[in-house]
Amino acid sequence: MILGVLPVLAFMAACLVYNAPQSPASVRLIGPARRVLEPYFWQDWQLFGPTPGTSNDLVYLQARIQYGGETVETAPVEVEEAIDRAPRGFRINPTKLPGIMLAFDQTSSHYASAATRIKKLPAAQRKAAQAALDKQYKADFEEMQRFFSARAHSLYPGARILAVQATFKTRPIVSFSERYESPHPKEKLKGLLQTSWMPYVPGVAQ
Amino acid sequence: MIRHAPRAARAHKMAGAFLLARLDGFALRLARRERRLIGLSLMRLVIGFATILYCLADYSNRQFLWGPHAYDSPSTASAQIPGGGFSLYLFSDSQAWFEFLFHATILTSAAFMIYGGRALTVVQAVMMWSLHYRNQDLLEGGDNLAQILVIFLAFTCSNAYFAPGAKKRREKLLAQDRQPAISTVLHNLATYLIVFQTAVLYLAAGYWKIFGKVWQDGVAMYYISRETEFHMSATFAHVMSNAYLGTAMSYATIVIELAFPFALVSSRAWLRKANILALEAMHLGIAAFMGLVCFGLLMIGADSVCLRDEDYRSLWRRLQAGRLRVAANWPGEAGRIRTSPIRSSASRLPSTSLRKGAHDHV
Repeated sequence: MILGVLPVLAFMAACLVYNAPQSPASVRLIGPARRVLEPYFWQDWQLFGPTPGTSNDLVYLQARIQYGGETVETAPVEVEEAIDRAPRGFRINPTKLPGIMLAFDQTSSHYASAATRIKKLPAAQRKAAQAALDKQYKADFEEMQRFFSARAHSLYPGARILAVQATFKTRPIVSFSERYESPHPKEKLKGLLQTSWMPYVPGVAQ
Repeated sequence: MIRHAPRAARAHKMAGAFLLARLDGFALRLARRERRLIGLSLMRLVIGFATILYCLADYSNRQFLWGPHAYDSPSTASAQIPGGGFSLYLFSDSQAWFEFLFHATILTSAAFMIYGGRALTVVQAVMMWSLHYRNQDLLEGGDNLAQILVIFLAFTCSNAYFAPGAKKRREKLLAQDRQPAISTVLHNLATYLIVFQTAVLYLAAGYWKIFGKVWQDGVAMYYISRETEFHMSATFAHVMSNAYLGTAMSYATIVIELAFPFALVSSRAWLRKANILALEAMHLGIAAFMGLVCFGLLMIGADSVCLRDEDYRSLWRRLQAGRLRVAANWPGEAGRIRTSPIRSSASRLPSTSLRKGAHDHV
């Protein structure tokens, strides 16, 4: 009986420490709690109590295309809104495609704020910090490269695409206090992050 | 001798005996009878069904999302899996392997949903974890909870209700002359952990919300209803623009989440039932108005374990009694009921008789 109850008590204690807000005590105890819970009982319930975004995210896609012997750049095309609206196509069991854009938006936001912090570092430390940041986000940007290559392929079928670039922007939601204002307020777009030109990856499933 | 012993030693002995008796009682309660069988069976149904929905929601996009040539390539997916994690999908880059696994996940989930049982729960856990770790961009939070709860579920008897052969299994489990068993202890401890984990989740969720500016201001629901990816209904967004309704919804969400752990340990059954029913309504709302169907279902599944078997029986009795009352007041139905002596007498029966019938149905 005791053998059965002890792991339960250990799990309960670890779970409480793991989910406790940061405090001098929790900082000291989080290491052992992690050893008990990770990886199989890893949990993050902040997702359940989010501060809802007060803006909508937008992603503009541009492509470099080989056209008649010269390279041309397409006009930016907004691609996120259509994906975010896709669940309305079948409300009973909606697609999970917006989850991809949500993940990309989060990555771009975290990367942008980390990059801004790096810019404030002494010049001697900047290069190494930037290299470490790029290494940390390597897999995420590879994912984006493949995703936007597939989107560009569907936007420009048959074209010889050379590279793709994504620009992340946000548009604030009309604030609660202005919701009934007439004419309806127009919120300005705010740039968040622009990726470098990423070589086109052929063969990604559509 | 005891008469001459000092008072402190006697009190000490009595306290020891009392503690031992309590511990014995606790051990017997753990080992004698499996608890929360109805809730666990509901959770099994929901996890299986939600996994099927998860796969079918993007069945036509499966190559793009999880296939060997997906945008999330096997190498990037591997890099994002935490240490100790695994995905069967990453064992091979072959198209046939992917198709086999994906369809096996759907079939396993259906079998798990219908039959349950410990072996199928383990297979379901492996398949579900594999699918989730193949592409983590698509996870919604409810999946995180399901990943944890399915591990606990493997130690429980989750097919005592709503499964072929459930009645026979139940008769065996609820037999009066049953001896204490290790499997019963494991079942009860795992069930306890499911309830505990769910309570921690709601406490944490309520805590994070109460410190959020937009939740404090009562405008959280307004902004959520206007996020493009969660905007499923213009009517809902319009209703959430109302200052009173939007604020009430925002505050009610926090209150029912924070109250959950306390309602669970409350001796007042109505409080527990009311709180959990309110949470179920909230998750149905999330599924319908925010498009998070799998999330809503998984949360309902987790909540269902937090009600005791007696709670389900009393809810069932209330439902039956309500139905009978409605039938008695309905002109056509009343006439029909009057012609049936069994039905008309059933409505006049004392609650104990009704209870027996309800118990048989649950």
